[in-house]
Amino acid sequence: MSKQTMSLTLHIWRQPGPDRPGRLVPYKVTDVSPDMSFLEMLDVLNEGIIEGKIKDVGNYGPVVFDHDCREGICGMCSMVVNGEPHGPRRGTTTCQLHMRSFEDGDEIYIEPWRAKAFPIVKDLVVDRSAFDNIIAAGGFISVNTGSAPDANAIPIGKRDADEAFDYAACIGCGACVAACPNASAMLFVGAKVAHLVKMPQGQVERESRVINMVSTMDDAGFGACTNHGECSRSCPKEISLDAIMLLNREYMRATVKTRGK
Amino acid sequence: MSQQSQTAKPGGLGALFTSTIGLKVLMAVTGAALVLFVVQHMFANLQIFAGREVYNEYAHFMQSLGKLLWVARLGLILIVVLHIWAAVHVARLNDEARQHRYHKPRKYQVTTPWARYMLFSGVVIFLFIVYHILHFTAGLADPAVFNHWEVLVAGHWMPTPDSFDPAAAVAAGAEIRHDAYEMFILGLQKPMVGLFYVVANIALAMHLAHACTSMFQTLGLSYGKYRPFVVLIGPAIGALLLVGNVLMPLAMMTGMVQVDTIGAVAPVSHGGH
Ligand code: SF4
Ligand code: FES
Repeated sequence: MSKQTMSLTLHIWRQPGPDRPGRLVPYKVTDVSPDMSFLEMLDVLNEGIIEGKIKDVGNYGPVVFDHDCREGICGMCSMVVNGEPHGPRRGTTTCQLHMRSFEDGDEIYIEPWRAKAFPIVKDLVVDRSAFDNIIAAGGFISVNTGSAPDANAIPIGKRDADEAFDYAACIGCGACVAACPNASAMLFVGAKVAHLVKMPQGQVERESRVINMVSTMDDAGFGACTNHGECSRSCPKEISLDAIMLLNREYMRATVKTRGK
Repeated sequence: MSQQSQTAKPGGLGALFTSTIGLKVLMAVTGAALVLFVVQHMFANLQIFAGREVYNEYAHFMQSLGKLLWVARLGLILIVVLHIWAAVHVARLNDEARQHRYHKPRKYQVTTPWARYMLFSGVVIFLFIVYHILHFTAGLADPAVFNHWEVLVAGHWMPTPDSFDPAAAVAAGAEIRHDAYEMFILGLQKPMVGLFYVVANIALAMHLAHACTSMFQTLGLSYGKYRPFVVLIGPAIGALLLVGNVLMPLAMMTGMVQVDTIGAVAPVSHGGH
């Protein structure tokens, strides 16, 4: 690993509030270690802005961005880096992206997720409540209360268990929506529906789940999938397009089963 | 609580016309029917290379279906209308959903130009369909090309010259039929018309390169191990239609295929010009 540090020009979307105009503002950051994560690099930038060492054209103050776990599991670190949600590395969240993925002297454009259903709160932070509403509409199973059941009381085939696990890997980050030319949320919804439909525990609400989740998704103003495949490519958990296919299948099945009800 | 979770929002078949997935399914199902139609249409028309007799026999057979032909035509129009309605609806929803664009344009990784310009190719195809119907079905776009007839002489269908008057022939008790063969060749010999057919069929091939794969995905038929095969279906059908459908206008424009008038019935007036 080279000890050399990097100098970068960042163009960051600055927007003081939901209904305020925003613009890209350039920042010069020096002394960036290639071993830093992308978010650590932004921490360095914010320190510089606070200490007055980095020029903040327009005096916006420190850049506001979402983050929590910084280990790729919470799905908070939403930002579009150089036109790619979560940046250039496949299967990687922004917090897990390291500065060694960039070159000294690079210009980096950083923007928030953009979609009608994800309104901007401030700078790079968007409101992803729409995802919470979709989960609340059907992303759950019915279980009896009381003591925890025995772990292997309900046998599940290996293949179903593996597939359910793959779909369960979705961290609800919203990169799929940000990547989609239609701002569609079907990879996310598909992952949730596919995860639960593969499990015996998910059968009780099988029809109502998919119908309610899709209708909540539509109400939130997400677009319709036209099979570009950009979502799966941008997904930090590499959720397969099979999720959308299963979602379509489950939705068709549920509409037929619930007809006249 | 579990009671509440069981009450589904309006599902049922009405969802086909209201939900995003329903609209996609509607587009896929109508699209599948239209693909079957254009593929059979292409193979039927390729009979032009088999010559006058084969082609006009087929055209005559289609005409002889009478009411059935009209059922098919109206059915096709209904399917086209539904397909376009769903497409426009989805396009508007999607435009609305993606109203905020990126300043540094999104770097698309896997989508194709065919996928991104579906609406554009769709509009070209629609304009073409309108012209094509006026051209070869209604005969209004170019009546001089449309009005060609064959006449039954001693059990054989014979071509007739331009000056042939179908109404008079019928009044005189002759049996005549439309000469689709000459209409087809003469119609596409005109460079601008031929070019429009070529362009429209490139648009059709582009449209189907994405559409045919897309419909499998939308209808839930591209699962796991079938996916690598399904992604090839669209480009394969697109390429097939491109070759077949572009070959015809090119053959006429370059004169590779010309009207074969051997045995033309030549009335006296023919020497007039
Ligand atoms: S499907 Fe992938 S990109 Fe979409 S929310 Fe889940 S983890 Fe994020
Ligand atoms: S901060 Fe949790 S996934 Fe990036």
